[in-house]
Amino acid sequence: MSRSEPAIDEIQDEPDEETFVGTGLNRVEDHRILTGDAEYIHDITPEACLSMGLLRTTHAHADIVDIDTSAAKEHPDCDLVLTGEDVAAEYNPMPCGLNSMSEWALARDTVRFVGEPVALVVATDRYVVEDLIDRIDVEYDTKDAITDPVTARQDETLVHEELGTNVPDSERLTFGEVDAAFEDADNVIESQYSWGRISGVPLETAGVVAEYDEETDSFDIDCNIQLHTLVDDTIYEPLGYDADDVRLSVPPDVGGSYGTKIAIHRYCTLAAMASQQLDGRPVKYVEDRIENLQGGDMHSSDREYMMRLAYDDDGIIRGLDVNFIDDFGAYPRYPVNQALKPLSVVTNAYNIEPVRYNYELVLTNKTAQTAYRGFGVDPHLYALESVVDDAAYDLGMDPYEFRQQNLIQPEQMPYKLPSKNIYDSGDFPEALARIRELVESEERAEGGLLEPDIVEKKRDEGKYRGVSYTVHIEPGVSGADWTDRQRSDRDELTDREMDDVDELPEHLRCELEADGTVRTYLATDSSGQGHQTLVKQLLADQLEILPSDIEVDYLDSVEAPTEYGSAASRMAVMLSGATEGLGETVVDNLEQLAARHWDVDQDLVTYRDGAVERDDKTERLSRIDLFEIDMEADGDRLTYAEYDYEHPVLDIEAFGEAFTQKYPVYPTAAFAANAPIVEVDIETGEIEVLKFYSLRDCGTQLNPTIVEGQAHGGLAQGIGAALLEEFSYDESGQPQAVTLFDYLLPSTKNIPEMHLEHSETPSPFTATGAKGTGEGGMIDGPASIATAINRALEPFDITADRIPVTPDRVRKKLREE
Amino acid sequence: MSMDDVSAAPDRPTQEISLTVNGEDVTAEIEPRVKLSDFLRNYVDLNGVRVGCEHGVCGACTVSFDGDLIKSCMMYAVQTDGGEIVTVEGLGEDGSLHPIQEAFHEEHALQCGFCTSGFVMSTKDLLEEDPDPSQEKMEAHLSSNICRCTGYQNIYDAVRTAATKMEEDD
Amino acid sequence: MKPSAFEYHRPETVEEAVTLLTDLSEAELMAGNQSLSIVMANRLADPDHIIDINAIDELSHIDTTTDTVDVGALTRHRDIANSPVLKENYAVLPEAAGQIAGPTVRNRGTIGGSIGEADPAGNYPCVLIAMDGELELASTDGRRTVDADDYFIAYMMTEIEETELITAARFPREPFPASRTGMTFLGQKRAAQTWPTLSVAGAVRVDNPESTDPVVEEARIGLANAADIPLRIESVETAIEGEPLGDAALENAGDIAYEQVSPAGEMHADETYKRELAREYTKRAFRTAYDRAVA
Repeated sequence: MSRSEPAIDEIQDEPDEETFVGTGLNRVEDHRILTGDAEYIHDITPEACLSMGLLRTTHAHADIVDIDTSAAKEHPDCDLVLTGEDVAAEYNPMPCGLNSMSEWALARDTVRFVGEPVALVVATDRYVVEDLIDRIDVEYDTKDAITDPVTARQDETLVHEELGTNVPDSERLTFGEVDAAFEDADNVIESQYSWGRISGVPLETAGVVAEYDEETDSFDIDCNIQLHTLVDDTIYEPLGYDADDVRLSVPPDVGGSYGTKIAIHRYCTLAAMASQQLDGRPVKYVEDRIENLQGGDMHSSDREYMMRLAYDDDGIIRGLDVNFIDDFGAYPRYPVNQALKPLSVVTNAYNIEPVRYNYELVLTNKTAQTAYRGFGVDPHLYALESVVDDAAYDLGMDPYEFRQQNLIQPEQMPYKLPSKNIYDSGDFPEALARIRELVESEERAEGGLLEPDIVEKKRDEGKYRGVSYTVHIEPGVSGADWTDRQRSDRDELTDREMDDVDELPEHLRCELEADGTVRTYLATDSSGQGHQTLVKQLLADQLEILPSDIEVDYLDSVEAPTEYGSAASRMAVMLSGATEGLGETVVDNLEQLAARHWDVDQDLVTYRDGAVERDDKTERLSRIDLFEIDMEADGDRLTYAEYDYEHPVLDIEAFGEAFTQKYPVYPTAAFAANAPIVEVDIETGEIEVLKFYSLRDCGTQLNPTIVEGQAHGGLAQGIGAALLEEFSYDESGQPQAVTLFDYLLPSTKNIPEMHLEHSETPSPFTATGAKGTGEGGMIDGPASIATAINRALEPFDITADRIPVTPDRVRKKLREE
Repeated sequence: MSMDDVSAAPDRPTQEISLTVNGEDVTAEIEPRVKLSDFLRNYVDLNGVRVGCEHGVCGACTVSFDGDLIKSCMMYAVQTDGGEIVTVEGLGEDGSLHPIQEAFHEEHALQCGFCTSGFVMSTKDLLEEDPDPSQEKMEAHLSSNICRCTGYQNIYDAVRTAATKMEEDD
Repeated sequence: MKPSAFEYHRPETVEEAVTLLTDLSEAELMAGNQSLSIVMANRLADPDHIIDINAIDELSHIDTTTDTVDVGALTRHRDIANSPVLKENYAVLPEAAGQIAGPTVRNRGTIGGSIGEADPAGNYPCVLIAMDGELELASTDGRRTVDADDYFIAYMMTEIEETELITAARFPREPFPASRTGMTFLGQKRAAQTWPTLSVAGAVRVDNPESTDPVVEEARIGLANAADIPLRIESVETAIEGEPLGDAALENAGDIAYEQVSPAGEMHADETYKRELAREYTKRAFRTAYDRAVA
């Protein structure tokens, strides 16, 4: 059930462009979106489709005593009601991110977070569905809610009795002589930092249309889920079917995800079950915003850090000790390895050898965590840069100098981290120096935001300005094999060899059509990153044709092999490798086809500019010709090609340790040097970002316009996270931010002018020199804003030790001074 | 799941409304509780009206009603009886893009696109009121719309480009 | 987030509206619908009848006489915010209106609807209280007037009967001749479309703006979200009256506000923090209003 991209008006490409890669080619996705023609999942309603809704609990922790669905079922408009018991009678639980746990799609026996679905209802439309939901009566026996992850670790009250603990996963990794380093160093600083529960909150909520086919005993599920070819097991397993009988597809247009839609399998599962119970009537579910914010399986990292830094009096860092508790809510999903990704950048841009990384994954009565842009790296960089700031201030050293002298030097590249990942290229000291020079020259001058007279005048008014200079690494192109570390036997990892490493290649295929169009198929999904445009650019260059000669479509989960897909800042690199390989295959195939047709050796023909010619120039076959020829021939279609691009560093020995030991493998190090200028009103605690300077480098830019757009968006999310956004819970487990009046998304009033500059330090590990990018901005924004606030509030000796840095928290610290 | 399937039941009263949508007459028999956003999407088949929050914050559902910019999720369809609605689908002429839509495309002012209809409608309203808005005016007028992807920078560029295009068209 | 079923009525006069209110049980009035729609979408309210008063043209007006500013209940926030006569003569009102939610919401939201909602965090109630305003209410028995300080009783509970409709909000002009008055509305609103954490409506009349040290003759302050009803604190007002505005008096006024408010804590704003905001914004409101009065 893959969807076609309609071939309608596009801005015509310049025919004399030499290459399309490297240009800011305008996006092919835009026309359909702008005219309202784009079909997001919310727009898809097949014939005779019914509407599904969910009854969700308002209790954080309670036993279900009784569910009386009779009043709902009796109503003539009611088509179906299912409870957890109904689901358990015929289906399986959904897998979790840890082997020891599973989760029922509808709560059975006990509810464990506010918003957990307890029953589903199906009727003609959502209005009457909600009328019916009101008729269901549930009796609960409430229990104490576990809301503080720190005390939850004591296991006095358990979220899951059968687990026997609230800490189902933890690990303590020591790289190098950490204890000795801390003993020997002149100074040790120990500080705590909190990263609030923040998440992506895309404008489009989850949606699914599921249809069971009685004839073939299989399912067709259309959903805006992310990584559908990777996580389809979270749907076919609970349904109790084979992968080939559950066809999961994603519309070409998804209204944003940023990782958060990776774990919305519950809705696919329930809608599919409902359709099956209704003998194949299509069933549609659209999550509303309150459901999404409250119990939508879409919260993210929620951490308490205890950081220790060992450093000498000259400011050289001797060791790093990272400890944190991550509040995962009631059910850890696949993105559970969000707790481990920071290992890929564990020392950020600093040259530190002895490192400890110690985490505990803690369960509470809250909504589950999902992935969110950065995947755990953003809190890590925040905590690390905060303790670096604290150390610098403690020493009385300018944090800029402290940082500069600890940075990895360019001659150390490629640089192997203590945690085994490798940074490919980059001159971090130069980037840090450059951002400082840029901002100092622009803003310290007359009329600038940091002009000394203005700064002083503002201080008299109670407004304190500050800027801080930091460098951050954005790890890219994740391997897939390491991601199940927490579901593996970690003791057995030491015996692993490269043959045991199961990497997933990036799959790409295409076929020629009668009119010469090259129809290409992605084996993953998109949510606004412009993949269709990118593939057109890449393949147009490979095949020497125009982007408008190419159409890009998507495969469903049955057609496509399992692959990682659009996450972890992989796609630029993986797609460039895949299109290169696919292009070569196409060229070879078409040359073969032509050679066979002319009955000559293949080395007497050449593919050029979208057609194949005889080297003696006597004949030429266009793509239209080649299509016709292929259709008339027997045997395998040569106008069809596919390619599986292996992870780019699988063959590089230096990565062997990371691969075999299942440490995060992220071979590209995009980086950013940030300097947000902030102003803190010390009387009210209100903080404004006046301007955001950022120097960004993701290696070769395949489409600079898209790269910059991603950076803008990431930084905006970073500002929101740093200052505005939080999913708080009260002591009884009630979520406090269930509308957009309380979960504050940054608007035009919150986001300042961003001054971005881009450099290109190519990666030695990738074909084009491109580095993965996409999570940047969110990864580095909050850390840099926090350090800028520290700088602004330096006269008060206050650090921003809690994210978001809300005005009341600032005032609390000032008050306590 | 169209509004056509809802027949009047004792506990679900309906009434008839007649209005103009993008220049075309529309008549329907619907429940008073049906939101204008749902009506436009499901009855008039205008999916360009997007629904992001249903509580008046995100602005994805922004349309024009009798010349005023409104959030269609915060109005019931019955309130628009006798009125005139314009959505993004009513902007371009003969399949081509309105200058504002062109500008959004040229300036890469959309990524996932879910907020785009709302921003285009708000931009149109802004430029009708002020053909050459200052940065401050832009920020104020567009503060009713949330974008989660673009960080707004390119949207400002698109507004400026649209302003120039529309001035040239005059 | 779909409301329960209701019947829809659209009266064209006040008389029709109040007759419907009296005759129908479980009926709600609908004006801008910018708040009601949410409450109904969440099914926290599920009236059987909605009385849409948007067609009652007589309820939409801004009239000023020498004594009074008279604003019809159905006047939109946008129109109040843009009114030249109000901006010139009664600035606190358009400033309050212009800060409500975002521009699109202000196209529909009305002053009557907002006051009817009686949220203590609302912008208009604290203006009404500060400026000693009054509300005109209509029912099948005719019209009556209620003073602002009698109107707000407890958290979202007011004097209005279920069979009554707000028809106008009136503000006395006499204590505040434009030439020697300054007014302002300010506070903390962390995002463009959320509720304010705390707001302050302020007005100051001086004796003679031309003199070197104009003396504060009369000061008014009204606070939103500083208690479970909009709050006017007269001891805060007298703290700056009778002398030119000085730092000591301002500090004092702020300190009294800090002590006198009784705010409820909320996410990202506990009680102590709100007291601090009350203190700080009171000072800023007085400072701004005074500076405008003497300008």
